[in-house]
Order: sequence, then C-alpha cells, then structure tokens
Amino acid sequence: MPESTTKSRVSRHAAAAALLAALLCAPAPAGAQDAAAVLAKGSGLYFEASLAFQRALGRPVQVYDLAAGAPSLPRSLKAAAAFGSKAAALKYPAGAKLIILLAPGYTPPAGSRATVVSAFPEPAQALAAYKSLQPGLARLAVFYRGAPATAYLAELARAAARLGLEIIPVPLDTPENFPDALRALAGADAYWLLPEPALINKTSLKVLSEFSCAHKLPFYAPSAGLTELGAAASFAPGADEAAAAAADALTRALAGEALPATLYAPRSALTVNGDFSRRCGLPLKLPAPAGGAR
Amino acid sequence: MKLRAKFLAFLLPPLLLSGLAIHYFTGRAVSDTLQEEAAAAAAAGAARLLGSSTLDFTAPREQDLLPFLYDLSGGLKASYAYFAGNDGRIVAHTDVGRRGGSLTAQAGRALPGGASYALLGDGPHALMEVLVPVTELRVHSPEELALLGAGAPPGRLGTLALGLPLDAAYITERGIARKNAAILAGVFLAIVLMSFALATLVLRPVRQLALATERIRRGDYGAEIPVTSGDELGELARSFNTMSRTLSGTIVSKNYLDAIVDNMLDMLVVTDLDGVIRKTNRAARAALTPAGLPAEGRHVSALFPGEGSGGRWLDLLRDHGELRDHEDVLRAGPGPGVPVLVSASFILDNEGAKGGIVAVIRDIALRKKYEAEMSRSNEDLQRFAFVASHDLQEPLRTISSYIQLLENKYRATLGPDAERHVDFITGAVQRMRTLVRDLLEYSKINPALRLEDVDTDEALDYVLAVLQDAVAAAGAVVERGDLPVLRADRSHIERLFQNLVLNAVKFNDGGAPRVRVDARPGKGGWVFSVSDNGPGIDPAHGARLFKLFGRLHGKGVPGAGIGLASCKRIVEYYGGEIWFESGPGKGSTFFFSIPSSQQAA
Repeated sequence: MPESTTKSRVSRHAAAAALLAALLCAPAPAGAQDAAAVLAKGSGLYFEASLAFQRALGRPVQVYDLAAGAPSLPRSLKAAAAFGSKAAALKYPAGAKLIILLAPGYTPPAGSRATVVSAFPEPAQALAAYKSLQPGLARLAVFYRGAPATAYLAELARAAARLGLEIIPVPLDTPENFPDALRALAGADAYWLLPEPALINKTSLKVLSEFSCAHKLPFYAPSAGLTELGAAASFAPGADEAAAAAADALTRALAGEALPATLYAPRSALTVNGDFSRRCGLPLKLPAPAGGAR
Repeated sequence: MKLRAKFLAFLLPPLLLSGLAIHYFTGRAVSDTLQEEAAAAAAAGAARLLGSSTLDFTAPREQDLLPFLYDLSGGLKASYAYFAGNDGRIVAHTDVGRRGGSLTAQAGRALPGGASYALLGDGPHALMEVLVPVTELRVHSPEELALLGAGAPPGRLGTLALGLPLDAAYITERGIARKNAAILAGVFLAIVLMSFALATLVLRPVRQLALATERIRRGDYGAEIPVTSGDELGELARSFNTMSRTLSGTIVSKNYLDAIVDNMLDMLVVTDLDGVIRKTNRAARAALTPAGLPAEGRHVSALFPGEGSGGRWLDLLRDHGELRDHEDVLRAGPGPGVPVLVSASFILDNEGAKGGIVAVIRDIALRKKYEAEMSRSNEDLQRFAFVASHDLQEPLRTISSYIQLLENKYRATLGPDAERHVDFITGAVQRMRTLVRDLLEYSKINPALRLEDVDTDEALDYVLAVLQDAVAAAGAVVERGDLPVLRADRSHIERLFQNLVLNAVKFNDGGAPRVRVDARPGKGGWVFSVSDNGPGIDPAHGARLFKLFGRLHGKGVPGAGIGLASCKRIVEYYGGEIWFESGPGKGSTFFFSIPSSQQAA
C-alpha cells in the first residue's frame, strides 16, 4: 500500500447517496436550474466528485448521468460542470458556461468558452514536491501526448527554470513507444508520465515500473492510484480538489466573471510508494515508513 | 589429564568435524534440491504459459512479447524475464533497457525438457536464471497426425529466460540448516553424554583399582576389588586380587613392622646421610629425649659428644659401608654417659642409591657392670690360684726333699715294702708338683696381650727345643708346613704349640708318633692345625676335652687335664676358636684360629 492518507469515506458515502437520490429523483428547485452537473457515469469517481462539487458549491444542483441516457438540459441553464470527457463532449445550451473537470484526455474544440480544471498539478507545486522528495533531481523527463499538454509543458519549463531544474519533454503517440523512449532517455534523473489515458495501459505501466527499478530512476506516476501499481510517487490533484475548483469556477461564472481557459486545483497531494522505492533502491528522501506523505 | 577428559578430547574433534561435514554437505544438498525444485517449477510454469500463448515467436516483436513477459514474470514471481533469439540477442526484456543485449552463456544444470538453470551471484540476493527453450509450435490435423512419420524435432526459436530471486529459497535453506544444526547438536550431545556415561562405566573398575592400590600403599595388604565382568578389565581385576593376596601373604604390613620396631628393646634411629635424626622408635625416644625435646632434627654428634664419638661411628660407617657393635658412649642429657653398642648401615633404594642411615643402639651399661664384676672375680680367682699353686710348691718341695732323705738314709732298714711305699709317695708328690705347676702356668695366662709380629715358624723351633727330650724319648717325628708371621703374644703362640705338640707326642699306640704342624689362611685370620697318628678321640668326649682337668686317659699317661683348657683360654683371648677332628684309630687333628684383627676378648 502506498503511504497515503486514506480518508474515511464511508459516512460521507451514506449521506451523499441519500442526497443524490433525492436530486436525481426529485425535480430541482426553480432557483437551481441555472446550474447543473453532468456526469460521464453516475457512479465511482465522477459520482464522488459530484458530491464534493455540491458540497463546495454549498447547494445542490441538477445532476445528469450520461450512463442513463442522453439528458435533456434546460435552456435556462447558465453554467454546467462536466465530469469526464464524455460529459465534456455533450452539447450544452448556448450561452451556458461549461466547466470541465476529470477529463485529462479531452481538448475543448477551438472557440469553445469552456474552462478546463486541469488534471495536471500546478507546475511549481509539482516540481517543488518532486524536488523535496528527490533532492538530487536536476533533469526531469516528462512523457506526454498531444497538444493539451504542450501549454502545460511550457508552464512547467518556466517553473523549472525558477527552481533550477531542466524539463526534458518526451512526446509519445502510443504506449508501445515507451521502450524506445526509455532506451533513448539519457541524462534524466527521473521521469514523469502526465495523465494521458492514451498512454496508459498495463504493459506501459510495467515497462515504466521495471525500467525505473532496474535503472534506479524514479518514475513519477500521473495519479495516486497508479503509484500503487509500481511507481515511486505521484503529485496530482484529487477529485475532491478538482471538484472544489470547479465549484468555485462555476460560482464565479454565474456571477458574470470571466474565467481563463484552464484552471489548476489549488492543492495537490504527494503520494509516495515507499515499498517500491526502497525495494528498487531509488535515490529518494523517503519519510519514515510509518508516516504518510500527502 | 584424567582418562575421561582424554576420552572426551579424543571424541570431540571427530564429532565436531563430522558435524561440520554433515552440516555443510546437508546444506549443499538442501540448497541444490531447493534450487532445482524452484528452477523446475519455474521452467514448467514458463512452458505451460508458452503452450497457452498465441504469440508468434517466429517473428518476435518487443511490443508483442512484453505483455507476455510481464505476465510470466509476475506469475512466476521472477525478477525479470526476457526472450532471446537463436543468435542469443535479447529481443524483449522486462527491463526494456536491456533489449539488444546478449543471452548470458551459463554452464547451467540441466532440467527436464531441455531447460537449464544457473546461479547468478551468492547469498540472499542471489538470482537463479532459468532458461527455457522456445520451439516452434506444429499444429497437425488428425489426418496429418495419422500419416505423420518420425520427423525432425521442432525447430528452436529462441530462449525464454527467467531471473528468479533466491531469497525465499535462501530463507528456507537457512531454516532447514538451523533445524539440521539443532538436530545434529542434539544427537552429538546425546553421543557425548552416552560416551560420558560409558566412560564412567568403563572407568569404574579402574577407579576401584586405583582405590585398592592406594589402600595397599597405605599398608592394607590383601585389599581386593570386585570382579564384575569377564572382559579385559575383569581379567585385570582378577590379576590384581591375586597379586594383592600374594602380597598380603609375603609382606608384613607397615603397621606390623612399626609395631616390631616400636617394641624393640634396642634404640633404633634413622638419620639422613648427614647424620640428622629423622625417625626414632619408642626406646630411642625414651632414651634420647629425657628433657622432652624431640630427637628428630638433631645431629647424632649431639648425642655422642665424646672426643670424635658421634662423627667417629659415622665416619666408620662411611668408610666400611657397615658398622657392627661399635662401642661408644651415649650422652642424651646431663649426667654420666651410657655405654652403647652401635650397629649401623645405609638404607638403599631399589637402584642401590643411599637414602639414609639406620642405626641400632644397644644399651650395654648392665653388661659392662657384669663384665667388670666378672673381671674382678676372675682376677681374684687368678690371684688365688697363683698364690695357692705358688705356696703349695714349697711344702711339696719340702715333702719331696724329706722323702728323698728318708729313702736314702733308711732304705736298707725299711725293707722292700717300705721302699715301694716311698716310691708311691714320691710319685704322688711329683704328680702334685706337676699339677701345681700346670695350675700356676694356667693362672699366669694373662689377657693383657703384648702384641708383636711373631714368626710362628721360629716359635715352633723354640718349642721343639724345649720338648727335645720328650720328642726324642718317644721317637716322634715332627713335620711342619709354611707357618706365617702374625700379630700376637709370643708366649701364647709358644704355649699353644707346646701343649698341642706335647699331647701329640704323649698319646700314641706305642709306635713312633708322627706330628705335623701346619697353617692356612682362614676367614679373617689364620687357622693352625696340629695333627698326629695317635689312637684318636671319640667325638663323644669332645665336650669335656677343653675343660679344666678334663682328662680322657688313665694315670698311665702323665697330665693333669690343664693343657687344652689353657689353649682354649688363650685362643678365646684372641677371639678365635679351637676344635678337633678325630675318630678312634684315625689320629687327631687340633685346629685353632687366630683372627687378624685380634684383641683381647
């Protein structure tokens, strides 16, 4: 098990289930029709994030589950939060402000007014976290795919420069490119895979993990969940933090504020797989085994 | 070192060596077995996965092989897995960084199915690389199988390699090794304890033997030990018992000897070679410690303080090696000394080395007193005999003179009877005179010797001159051998010769006497002999022959029975002896001995 702080969610689940049932089954109050939450799937990660979203928002909103069928969104809708790429790709009423979260592989079409709550962590925070974990870190290779990450990489490079780090961007098309990319990796002190679903499968994770262990190069995973499967650490915003950022953006949108195209969750969590790091002898400044790092 | 310790010292090294050898070889066997089992299981698992895989190994691609390799390594808990082509080049490796490398050529151990394995590294972090051949998969229809003959074996497409960590096997091996060591330790401890018990059992008779020997050393002769077996130890016990019984029958115990020594009337003193007293018996303690001071530790010269006394008898002992009846004076305390006779000898050990001196000291004060009284009595008696015989001479001469006068004056008047009576009186007076003269001579024999070198040949010449008439009257022939020169009183030697030669001439059967005087070296001196061809003497009469007035013949032969008594007296003054050898009709030979270191007895 990674050394992460696990939050007890049992009680929250019970309360949230009751609230969602009420929201899905009962018509939303008239004042609430200006906002809605559209979920790619009404369970799992998206469901829990929607609960966090509404808690942060401070009021219930109409929630739509795309798994149950295409929803009929009210024309009066002024703003909506789309949970997942599938929800982001839905057609929304004109004039409605769209806040997209939990959709790392999704790129809004050109001219879209949508604001994306990025799945990436805030660059400076991420680099500071990795630097604190790996004091010898000087050159960080970053595996990514496609344009959405390009702008982030630019921000990352700027933040790295401020910290005296060097970013080595490694663009990939498919997971099968990892072996060659890794073999071509020269001079990097660690490598970081950005959250890109198209690059993540069982084999690519094993390739990254085995290479990390064999060559004592820390592998920073895109999420805490993937860290458990065989990575040194991850620094990523949680679904709750993304939901809170989306709720804040939605409130501001309803208030008529202009929002940037991309937002970062204000806080991200550092998750360290101490067992993996110790087994592979990675050059990390690990916390004591009993304590977690988040 | 005791026998039991020696036994253990002899037993422990081979036990330890065998234990180490067993531990080592068992560990090796366990290690080999575990490794082979792990390798065989891994090879079988890999073969199974290969059999169920649809991968095309004829044209292997890394991206196709990696999922299989990860499944393989994950399923078999391998550290890594890779596939190498027939050229040995690694096509795909779970560590993608090692693609393009070469298959490690290992002289591995063979496994069933053409697989093999080899160890990489040592210790808990060692790896075992299992190589499984990948062969082409031939799929035949039932019709083909029915028609198929013996064909060539399927072609080899490459090698699948698995790197298996041996930490689990190592832990298992260590556990087995620990258990093995514990079992060995237990078994060896049992062996040692049993050996200890066996040694105790075996050594018990030896210990009993040692105790019995100690008892014998302390003087308990006859001590025996139980015979509990018929083996060599039993035989030893029987031999010991026999020896002990023999010893008991032939050697008096120390206590017995101590009792004898302690109850001796004479003093017994044991000193070291320097004369320092080490041990005394009860009589010595009583005599030597009048003031309660122990005699042990004192030098004997302190007990014999006379001029050259204590040292004297020690010196004599050292010079002669033995001392017998040395007369000395013991002064153990204040007051007059005690006359003693000291006899001493060295105490010799088994090698003949001198270890001390044992001296027996006899108190002769009483004897000295009796001797002095006897001496006085003898002197008185001698003086009386001298005076009596001397004073008797005068009346006898008077009687003889007047008888002669009467005979001359009244021979014709008295008649023939009276003449015969006068002859009787004259003969009796003559015999009385001879007797008185002999008694006078006897009494003149003086123990105060005037020692000189006496040529006994000359002494015999003098005697024969004195006896010239008697010898000539008897027609005797006197012969002699080589006669020595010896230290003696000349008058004594002449008296001896005179008495013995005269006896030889006097006692004969009527023929011409033949007398021979001879001498030969005897034990400690000279033995003289005077032999004759006379009628001989019945040995039955020998007892009274040397007594005063001990006559064996009648009145026909002159003599008063004083001659041989005189001879005996003289010889005894010198510490010698006189005896005879004779028989009726065989003549007689009288012997007398004169010791070389003679002194007045």
